Amino acid sequence: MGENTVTVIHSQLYGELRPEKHQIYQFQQGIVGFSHLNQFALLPYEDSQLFILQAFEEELSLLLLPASMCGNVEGFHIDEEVVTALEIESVEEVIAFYIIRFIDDVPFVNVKAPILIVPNKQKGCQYVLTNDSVSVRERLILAGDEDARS
Amino acid sequence: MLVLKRKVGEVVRIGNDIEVHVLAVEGDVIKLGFEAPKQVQILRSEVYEAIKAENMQSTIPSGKDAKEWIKHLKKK
Repeated sequence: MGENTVTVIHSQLYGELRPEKHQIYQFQQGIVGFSHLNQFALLPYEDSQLFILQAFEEELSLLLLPASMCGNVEGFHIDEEVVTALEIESVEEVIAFYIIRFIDDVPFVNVKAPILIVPNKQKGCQYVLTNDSVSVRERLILAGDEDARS
Repeated sequence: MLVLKRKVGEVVRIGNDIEVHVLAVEGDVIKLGFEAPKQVQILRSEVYEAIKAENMQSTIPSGKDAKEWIKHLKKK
C-alpha cells in the first residue's frame, strides 16, 4: 500500500468508511468461521464506548465492547502461543474486547471467544478460551453492576 | 475421507508440520495430542461451530434494533 493510498470500505450499513492507518488491523487467522477475512478496521461506534470491527473484503461487521466494561468474568489467561503469534512481549500490549449482540434488545456477550487487539503491532485475533465454564452467549453484566444481577 | 488405523503411541502427520499423536484409548474415548505451528488453531469442532454460529449471528444487521440499548453505554 503506497503512502498516499486512502483506504475506503464500502459498507451498506455505514456508507463509505475511511479508516486511518492506525485503525487497520491484520487478523492472520481471521476470526472463527471467517478465516478468509484478514483485514479489519476498528472504529469507534458513534459516540458510544463501543467499537465496530469491520471487514475489508466482505460486508461483515461486529460490535465490540471493551472487556473492562464487562462484569461477567474477572479476566482470562492468555496462553504462550497467542503471545508468540501476536508478536508481543507482554500481555499489557493487548486490548481485549467482547463481541456484543442483542436479542430482543437484551445485550449478550461472547465471553468464550474475545477479540484481542495489539495497537502497536496492528494485529488482532479471536482468542478461544479453553475454560469450559464460560459460554459463547452470556447476558451482559456491566462492570460495577455485578451486584444487580438478581 | 482418508481412514487410517493407528495404535497408541503412533503418529499421523498432516502436511509438513502437523502431527497428531494417539496418546491413549480408554473405552470409547481417544486421547489425542497435537503438534502444529502456532498459527494453526486447534479446537474441538463443537466449540468451533458454536463460536462460528455466534459470530455469524452477531454481525450487525441482526442487532440494528438495539440502538436504544446502546444509549446506556454512551459516554457520560
